[in-house]
Amino acid sequence: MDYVEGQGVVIVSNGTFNPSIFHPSWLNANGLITDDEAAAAQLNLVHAEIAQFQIPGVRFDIQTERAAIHGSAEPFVQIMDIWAQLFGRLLPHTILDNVGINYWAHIKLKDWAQRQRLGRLLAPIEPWGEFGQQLESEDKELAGGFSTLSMRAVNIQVSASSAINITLQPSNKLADQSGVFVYINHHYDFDEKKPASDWIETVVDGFDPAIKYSRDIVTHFIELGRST
Amino acid sequence: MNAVAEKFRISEAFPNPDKDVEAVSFQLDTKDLAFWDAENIARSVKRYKFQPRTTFSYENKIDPTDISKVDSEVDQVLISFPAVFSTRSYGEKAINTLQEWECVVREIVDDTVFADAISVIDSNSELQFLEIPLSDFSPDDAPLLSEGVIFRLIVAFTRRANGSSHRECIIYIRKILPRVKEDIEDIVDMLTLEFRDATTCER
Repeated sequence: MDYVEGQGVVIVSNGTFNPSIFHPSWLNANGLITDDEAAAAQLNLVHAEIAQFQIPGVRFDIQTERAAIHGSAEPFVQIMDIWAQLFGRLLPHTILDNVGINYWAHIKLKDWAQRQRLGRLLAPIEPWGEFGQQLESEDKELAGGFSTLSMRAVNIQVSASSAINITLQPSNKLADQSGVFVYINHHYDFDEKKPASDWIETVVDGFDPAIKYSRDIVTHFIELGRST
Repeated sequence: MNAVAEKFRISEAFPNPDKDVEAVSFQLDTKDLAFWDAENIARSVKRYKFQPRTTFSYENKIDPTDISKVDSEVDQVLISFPAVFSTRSYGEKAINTLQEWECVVREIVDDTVFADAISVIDSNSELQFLEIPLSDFSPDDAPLLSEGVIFRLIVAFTRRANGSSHRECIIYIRKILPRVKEDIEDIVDMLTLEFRDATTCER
């Protein structure tokens, strides 16, 4: 029995971008994706305000103030390689406000009841008084609980403005309502706008440890959830 | 440069001098990751631990079992790579990652690629010795292989369109390996030394 039903990585950069230049052929011409990947690219939208397209395993979502590169298939390190080449070599002068390395996973618990017990452990209903009583029900269609639970820890090892944010939600991927969606965000922020070239070291050095730490968190919730 | 670094002989095509050494050091210093479900992983390993997936000749190679021929500063272990893992090009949904190694090609002999590998997931893992049939690499990637090339080897569960899940091995050559300032400084230092040596010889 495997307890992870899906996983992915997203590197999100906030700053100032020109979406209209982002195109599979541009990435291919600059060696970031192969000819085969460029040929297989699915173009959703390329516009002055937004560019959305995907190649096998990688999805690009570029807006004027936000650039996200998604990976939902291994090798996730490819996402970091593309990001680093994109902003380190092709667009080194792009100003970035902050960067996030994000990992998500859908984890599977034994059943809805076990997920509910985990939910009650993480967000007890007693402090909610009379409202809390409305959340309780034996019927899973009527029972309530948290829909989103987020926790934030300052990542002082990076900077006072950097943080590790964890969000838990009921998973919409598992039909039997036994799943939990875990999203871990490593947010890097230095309180100043910097050219992309100055961010490369932070992201390259931070990527593997961030993913590893995130998987550690997911492992913790699997163990905690399945022990309830 | 430490013993691990000396094992990683880097090619001109993929000069990545001390970067990986630092990464290795970091990984070795961090705590072990009980990845997903230790019991499940242990069961999987036990279930599939029959023999290496290919016959392997140690002729003219370092035999990890022969201590006298192994660098005393580096413990090398042959990765027991089960035959049940099939290789494929990446791109499908990977629903879970079981193991991941950062690998550096040491040499290519006939149709076999020999590489040093360090686990990205298991912080306590030692430097491991890996041999992979050349045919397991993508035909597009095979010509790129040379000593020093860095690649990731990932063992993962994947889910196919019919819903069935499979254990698969993914090989990803890091063709666009990022460069950081330290890398560039190292290369500049190296070139400066070579230039100095060359000019000294001319005199």
